[in-house]
Amino acid sequence: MNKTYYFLIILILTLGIGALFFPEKSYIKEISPELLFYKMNNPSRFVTTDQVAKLIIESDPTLFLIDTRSSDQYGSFSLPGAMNIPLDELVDSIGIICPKWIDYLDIEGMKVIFFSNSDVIADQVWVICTRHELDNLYVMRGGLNTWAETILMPQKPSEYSPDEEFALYDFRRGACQYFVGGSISIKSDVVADQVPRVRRKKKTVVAGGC
Amino acid sequence: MFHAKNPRRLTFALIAFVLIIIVGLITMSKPVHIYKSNSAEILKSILLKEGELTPEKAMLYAKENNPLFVFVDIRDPYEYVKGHVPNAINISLTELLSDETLKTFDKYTRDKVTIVIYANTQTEANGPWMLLKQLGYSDIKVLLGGYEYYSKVPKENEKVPENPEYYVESQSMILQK
Repeated sequence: MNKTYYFLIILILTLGIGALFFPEKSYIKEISPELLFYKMNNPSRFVTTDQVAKLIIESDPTLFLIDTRSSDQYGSFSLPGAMNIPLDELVDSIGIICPKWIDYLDIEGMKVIFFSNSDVIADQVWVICTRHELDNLYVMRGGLNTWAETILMPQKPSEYSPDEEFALYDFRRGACQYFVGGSISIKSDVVADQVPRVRRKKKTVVAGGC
Repeated sequence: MFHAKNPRRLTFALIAFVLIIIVGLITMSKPVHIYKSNSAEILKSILLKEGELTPEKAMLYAKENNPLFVFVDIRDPYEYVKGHVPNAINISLTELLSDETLKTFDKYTRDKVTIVIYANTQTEANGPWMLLKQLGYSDIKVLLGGYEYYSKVPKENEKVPENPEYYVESQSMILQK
């Protein structure tokens, strides 16, 4: 046999053995750090509590709320229709998002909004999920603490505030009535709107004649 | 057995083959930034809270100019000028992944200096903190509550409240009702 063929065999074998020592390719779906950084700096990933309230009231079918707090806290209070994915159960031991959550997080056309008491934990969940190629994820700015301040107990703007603030206040009062049945707002309204009743004097019939 | 009419043809083909492989290996694009830890590891360090620095400690380190800590302000330069942690360096967010910045961070890591990242709120610093942590900078911390709580830290003789406000993830009073 031609010597070249031997050489060819040896070459192919060395290449094959060399390929064995190639760094192991990870098959975890993830985006590059640069893209993650770019997405992180995009401020549109935050939504306000007013926007969330509006979406809930309109019962937007593409809205999907996710509570990232512990299941105890989720049990005591959460937003209507929210699902619980605690931060500590998000990731598998091999570093991928638990398969049981993927079906919920990876739905075409759904707006997934994360929230926690503030927005730090929700943001941490956002970073982990975004790294694993999930899209259309948002974080509720301020979390439930801001939700309580703005939607459940809206503050009346001062008299000199611009009209927009009054419009926002009206919306928030309406939203409050929607979420808590108005029990909080009615209390404060009664005090504010109490109008002193003026009792009419009874007309005295002129008695007696001439 | 097949014999090439021109035995040199095989040699040429062989050389070309080896050349293509060598050129391919040389020009193989190497990513600039690669993840050095997976999501399970980053989640573990979040849950252990090892990357958190309270404003009180931060104030102490900054005041004594502790050589083992460096504060990195990732806000815009004009916000940095208005007020910042003493001896903090300013690297605005857009420059975070630039070669120069990463070289600085590499140098701090070699010198075993802890990098503390902060912005106005903790949420603003959280993403960059997690990203750098995933890129392999293990000795990196984030300032709890951000600069807005740092500026509200009680003085030494004042009593520290039991549930400090900078734990922004604790439930507010309204929710507890």
